[in-house]
Amino acid sequence: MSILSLRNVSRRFSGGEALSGIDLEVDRPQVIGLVGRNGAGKSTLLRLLPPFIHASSGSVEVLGMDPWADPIALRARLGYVADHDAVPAGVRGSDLLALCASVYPRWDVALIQTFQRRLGIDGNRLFSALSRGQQRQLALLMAIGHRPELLLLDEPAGNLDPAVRKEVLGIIIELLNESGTTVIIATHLLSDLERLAERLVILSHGRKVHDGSIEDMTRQVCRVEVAPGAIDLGRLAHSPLLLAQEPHGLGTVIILACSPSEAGAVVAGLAGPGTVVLDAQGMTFEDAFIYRTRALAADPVAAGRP
Amino acid sequence: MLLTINPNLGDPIYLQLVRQIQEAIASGRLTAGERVPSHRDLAVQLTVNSLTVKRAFDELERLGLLTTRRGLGTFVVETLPADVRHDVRTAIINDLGRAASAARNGGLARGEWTTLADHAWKDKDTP
Repeated sequence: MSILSLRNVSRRFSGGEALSGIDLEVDRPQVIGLVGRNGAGKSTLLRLLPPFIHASSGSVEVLGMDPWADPIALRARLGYVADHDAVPAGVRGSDLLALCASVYPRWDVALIQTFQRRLGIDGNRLFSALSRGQQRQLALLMAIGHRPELLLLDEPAGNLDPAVRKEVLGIIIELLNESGTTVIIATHLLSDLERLAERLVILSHGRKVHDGSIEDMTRQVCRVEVAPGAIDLGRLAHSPLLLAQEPHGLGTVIILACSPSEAGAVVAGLAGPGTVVLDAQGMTFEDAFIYRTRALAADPVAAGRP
Repeated sequence: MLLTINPNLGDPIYLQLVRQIQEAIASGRLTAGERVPSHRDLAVQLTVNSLTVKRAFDELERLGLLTTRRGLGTFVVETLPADVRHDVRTAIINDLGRAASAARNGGLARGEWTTLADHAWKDKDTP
């Protein structure tokens, strides 16, 4: 069954195009990490699905349905945690959860009580009186008690300390262990994504610029050290494969959009045969991501290229 | 079983798990026939997607180190392949090679390099 199908989806706001020409197919349960700089279109993409906003063009299908055909029926099958608090502050935690239980026929009271106890969330306190971490945890519990088929998380653990973040991730992992929920998680916290996501979608200027595994993305960036004077940097600067360059010791370090094993051939192609590559190494996910997206941000034309 | 994940290593998480379990077996911390936690339990313990742990287990099965008995769980094999220690050595040699080339490029003298290596060894004295 198709869980999600976006075809050539664009969304324009008065300020310009927030999403353009997005294609995204999800046909089996998985965890998808949605990343990109601020304003890249992550939240806009998520908000198309429950649905909170209309696409300007293109087609959107969620859990096999046109989301606007019956939003209530769709929302019974998905969960959404906004990046801001969409929860009324002056209500007690237990009343919020009771409200959810009354709205969703499939609400799993035992599951939520177990999590609530473990996280130490006092249901008698007003939402506004809970710590920031507990507010985020409660918002997550409100989004999962009906065991959604699709869970949309917009920065679920942003601004939380590492211990609380780990608890939030723990809830998601246990939910995944128990049921085949598809999760789309938009976040800046790459180390969290590395732990959770099987698939990485990178947005830049409203376009999809990567769709594959974290390893695929990381493998395609490498750090190459070349001997002093070996390379004509002026010539290299015009190649889209060159992501960055900086002096290093006596030689130069260049960051290339290729795998370490291809580095020799790429450098030879760019700087002429016989250029001495001292060392070519892979990078961490975080470094690879930073160099890739920085190059895209500097060059919106390149960002449009898949 | 004490496993850790280090996002600064640059290796995919599943590979970090493969290597740590390999090392635990090679060093005798995990013994032949011993039962290991399920991939789902380990996933919760490590806060990683259980598919990642499953992938590490699959790789360790392929390497002939782990075996899954239906309904019983996952175990270290009874008869370990002869080259377990050899594989761990190869991985260490690769790591040292990377570190040595960084040291050379960074202009470290050989004496400094051996001192640093010695410090790194002592740092790991108390696990």
